[in-house]
Amino acid sequence: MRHCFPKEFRWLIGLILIALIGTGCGTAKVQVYQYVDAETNYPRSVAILPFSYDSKIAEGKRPHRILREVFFSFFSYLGYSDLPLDTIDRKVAPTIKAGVNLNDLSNSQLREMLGADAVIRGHVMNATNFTAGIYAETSIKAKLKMIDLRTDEVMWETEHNELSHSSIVMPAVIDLIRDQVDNFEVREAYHRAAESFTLKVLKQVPDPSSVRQNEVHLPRIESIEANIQGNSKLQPNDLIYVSMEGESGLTAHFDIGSFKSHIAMKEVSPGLYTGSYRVKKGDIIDNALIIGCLTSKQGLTAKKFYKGAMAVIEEARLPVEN
Amino acid sequence: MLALTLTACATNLQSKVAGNLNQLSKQQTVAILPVEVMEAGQKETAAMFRQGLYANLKESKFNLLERYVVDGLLKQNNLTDPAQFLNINPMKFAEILGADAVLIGRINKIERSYFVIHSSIKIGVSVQMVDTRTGEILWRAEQTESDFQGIGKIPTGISSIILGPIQFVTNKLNLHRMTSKLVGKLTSIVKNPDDAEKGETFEKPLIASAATRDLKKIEDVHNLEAEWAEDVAAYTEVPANLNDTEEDFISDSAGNIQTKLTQLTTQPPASESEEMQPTPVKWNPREESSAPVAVEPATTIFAQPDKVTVTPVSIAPKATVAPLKKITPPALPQYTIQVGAYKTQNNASKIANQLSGKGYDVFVTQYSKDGATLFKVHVEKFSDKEKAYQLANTLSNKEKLPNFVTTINPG
Repeated sequence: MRHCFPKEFRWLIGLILIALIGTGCGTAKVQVYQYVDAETNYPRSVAILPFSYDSKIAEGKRPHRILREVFFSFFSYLGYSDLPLDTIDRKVAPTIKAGVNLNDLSNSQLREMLGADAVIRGHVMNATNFTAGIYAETSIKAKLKMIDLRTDEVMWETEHNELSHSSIVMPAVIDLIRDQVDNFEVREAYHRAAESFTLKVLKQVPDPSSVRQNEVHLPRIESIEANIQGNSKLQPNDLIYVSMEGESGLTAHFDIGSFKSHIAMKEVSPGLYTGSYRVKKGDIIDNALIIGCLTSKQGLTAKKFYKGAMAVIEEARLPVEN
Repeated sequence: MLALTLTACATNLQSKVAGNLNQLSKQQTVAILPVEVMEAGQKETAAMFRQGLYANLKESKFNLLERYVVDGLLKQNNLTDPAQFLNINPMKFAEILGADAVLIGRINKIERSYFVIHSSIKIGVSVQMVDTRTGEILWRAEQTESDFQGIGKIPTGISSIILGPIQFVTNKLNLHRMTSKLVGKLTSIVKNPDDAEKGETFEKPLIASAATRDLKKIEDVHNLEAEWAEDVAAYTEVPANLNDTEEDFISDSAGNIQTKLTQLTTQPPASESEEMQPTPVKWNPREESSAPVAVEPATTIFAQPDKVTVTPVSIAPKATVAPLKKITPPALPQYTIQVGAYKTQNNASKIANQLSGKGYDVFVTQYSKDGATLFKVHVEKFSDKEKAYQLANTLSNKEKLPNFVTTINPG
C-alpha cells in the first residue's frame, strides 16, 4: 500500500472509502421462509389487505394508505395475480363496518371472503414528517408479512424503517434547500419514502414470474371470417357479420379496429362464435381491420385479425385535395 | 433562488399523445414490453424503468397485461430481443400477446462522469405506445434527466467539495431516485391525457412505420382483389347440379348459422344481435371509360345452336376474338339475366348447356379487359324489365342460381 500510493493521496483514499461505506447503507431485511421453485405450489392470487397503523400516527396524513397503494403498484410487477385494491376494500367493507378487526379473522375466513391464495398484512408502526430549517425528515416504519391462506404458513416477513433525511451534513447547500422544500409537501414526501421502502423490500421478496411464464397459454383461435370484402365501402345499416372458430366454452367478442370494441359474440355451436354489428349513421370507420378476440377463464385474451378486408365507411374518407 | 433554478436537476421532456389515447378504457389491455438497452450495464436501470412504468401506469385508464404474461408469451414466440420490437408490426404483438396496445421503451443513455470536484449523472429514455389494432402511435416521448454534485451546488464544507461528487456518482440510490423521478414525470400525461396541451398532441394520426408497411400491403391486395372482383363478378364455380346447388349459408338443426359468409348487403335496420340471412349478390357494373370497340354477331358453340351463343360485347384492343363489325344498337335496351361469369369457356359452356337442357334460352358473351377474358352466361332477353325480374326470381327459387338483371345493349 505504501509503495502504491503517495502520502499526499492517502487522505483522499480514506474519504473515498468512507463515501463508499456510506453508500452501502439502506437495505431492508426480509425474512423469507419459502422460496419459489418449479415444484412449489406457490400462491397465485394475492390480496393486499388494508394496512393497520399505530395510534400515535395522525390519521390525516395517511401514511399507511400511501404505503399500501405504493406497495400494490410495485408488487404487481412480480409474478402474482394481485387483486385490485378497490375489489379487496369492497369485499372487506361489510366486515369492517360490523366492527370486526381484520386481524381477528382466521385465514380460512379471509380466503373465503377474498377468494385469494394469499394475503399481505401490513402494520405501520411509525411515520414521521417534519421540516425545521436545516433539518428535514420523513420516515415510515412498518411490518409486512405474506401469508399463504391455503396452508396458514408465513411466506416472508419484514420490519423496516425507511428514513429519508436532509441536514447541514449534506454536501451541498442547494440540495439542502431543495430537500427542505420537497419535504414540506407531506403527501409527496411520504410517497417517496413508501416507494423507497417498497423497492427495498420487493428486491428480496420471492418472485414466481419465471415459473409462471411457462404456464401462460392464450386461447386457441383457428380462423376468423367476416362478410366484408376487400375495398368494399360500408354504409349505414350495413351489417358486419363475423364468425370465429376456436376453443369452445370461452368468451368471445370482436373489435372493428379501435373504432368499436368488445362487440359480443355468441357461441352458436361448440367452438364456433358469431356476432354482428350494424353500421350506424355517423359511424366513422376508415381502414379498420376486424379482430376476433377469445378470452379464457383465466382472463387471457387471444386475438386474430381478419385480413380479408378492411372496413371503410365511405363518408369517413375525406376528399383528397389537389 | 437563481442558484436553485440554475443548479437544480434538469429535465428535458418531449411528449406527445394522440386523441385516441382517451379511447382506451379498462376494457383495453396494454403490454409493457421489456426495455431495450444500448449497453449491457444498463440492464438494471432498464428493469427498474420498466417496473416504474408498471407502477405508475397502474393508475391509468387502461389495464396492464401482467409482466410474467408478457415475458412468457414473448419467450414462447422467440421474441427476446427488445431491439427488434420497433421493427415488428404491432398487429403481430396483438396476436402474440392479446394486447390492444404495446409500450416499447428504450434506455438511450446512462452517463456518469466524475472530475474530482464535480460529478454528474444523465439518463435518457424514449417510449412509444402503439395501438396494435390500428398501428396508431398513441404516445411518444423522449426524456433526459440529469443531476450533478459539485461547486455549482455550493458545498457545505471543504470535505464536501471532495466527498460530495464521489458519493453522488457511486451511490446507486441516486440513479434509482432519478429513474423514479423520470418515470413519474414521463407518465403523467398518459395518466391524464385530457390535460395534454395543444403542443402535446399529434396534429393528425401517426401510424407506426412497421404497421404502415403491412397495412399498405393488405390494402394493395384488397384493391387488386376488388378490381378483379368487378371484372369476374362474384362467382366462378360451376354448380355440379343446378338443383343441388349449396346455399351460401347452412343452418343447423337449431337454426343457427353455421359458416360460409357472403357479400355485404344493405338491409333494413335491425338489432345488433340479429343473424344475417342469405342475400343476393350485389352487382356494381364497372364504369367504362370508353365505349365498346366492337360487337361480334352471335357465334354458335353449343349443341343447341339456336339457344346458346357466344357474343363478345366489349373487347379490349388487344383481345383476339372475332373480326370487328359495326352493329347498330336497337332503339330500346334489352334486359337479360346474368347467372354466371367464368374464366374459362368450358365452365361457362357447362352451365349454359345445363340450363338450355331445361328449356331456357341461354347465350354466352365474351368480355376481355387487360388481357383477361371472361365468359358471361345470360338467360333470355326481354324488352320489359319486369319480365326479366320475374325470370330472375324463378331462377333463384327453382334453380337456386344467384343472378342479377342486366342490360345487353343499353339504349
